[in-house]
Amino acid sequence: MALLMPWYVFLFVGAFDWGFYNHALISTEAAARAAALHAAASSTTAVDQVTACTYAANELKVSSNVPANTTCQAAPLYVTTNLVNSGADGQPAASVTVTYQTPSLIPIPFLLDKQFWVSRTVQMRLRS
Amino acid sequence: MTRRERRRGSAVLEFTLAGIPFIFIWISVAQMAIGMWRYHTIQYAVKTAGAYLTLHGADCSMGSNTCGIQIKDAAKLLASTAVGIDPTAMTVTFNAIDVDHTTVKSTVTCRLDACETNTTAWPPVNYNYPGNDVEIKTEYQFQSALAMFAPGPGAGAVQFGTIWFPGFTHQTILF
Repeated sequence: MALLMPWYVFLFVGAFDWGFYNHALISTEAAARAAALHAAASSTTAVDQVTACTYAANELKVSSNVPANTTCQAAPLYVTTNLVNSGADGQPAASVTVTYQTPSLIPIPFLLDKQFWVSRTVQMRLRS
Repeated sequence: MTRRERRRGSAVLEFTLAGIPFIFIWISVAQMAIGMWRYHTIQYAVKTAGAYLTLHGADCSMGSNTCGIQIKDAAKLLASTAVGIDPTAMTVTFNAIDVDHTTVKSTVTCRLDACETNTTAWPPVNYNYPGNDVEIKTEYQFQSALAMFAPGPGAGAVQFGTIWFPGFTHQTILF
């Protein structure tokens, strides 16, 4: 029992932490897509960081460490928007990068940090 | 009786001692997996229904276009995408959002099975233009068997724990 218990504890901690980390990965991806969908409306919205922040924060607000009134310019959430003059197909595009820091969880020494930064960039062709 | 015979133990007793907690652990793991699967399924279904709404805005009634939809159409898509989710256990809120991306201008809330017969046009007129937003919020009542293991001594019928799973999407109307 004494020999096995540490393994069970670490297994539990690992599964618990990775659940949160995977949730952060999926949510960050969804946040970047939702923001890019708005940003791709025109060259004006492509640099509209405030509204992009609203969309991204909406997707991430389930996460416990994202404040309701975030401006997406400080931890744990950063959102940057850019107008790309020549996107993947040579046409103008909007590019949105969402960077999110997970909540502080239980670390496993030498194996798993207690926090991670997740960053996702979505580029979408301008619709007009 | 020799010392070795005294230390042989009892298979039945030790299986009972170890088996009871392990059965709890196995059922808990299965319940957690089912819960995570349903949570993900709901989120996927809500986003799919939201994307469907964003492509059926004002342009659907422009000129000779006739692709406008109603609440029931989005609800049916949601229900068919949410595989394994009981429609009677899910409450859905459809919000039409103003161009400021935050102000809710119109709301419809219904249980998913009732939504499937709701003929309200959605997104609603005046708030269905590209630039307006649509939002869908869901709450699903997940009946977990996890909590049945702590009924207390002398408890009566098995009690299943209730956990609420949220679903959310907020998207801009594209067409």
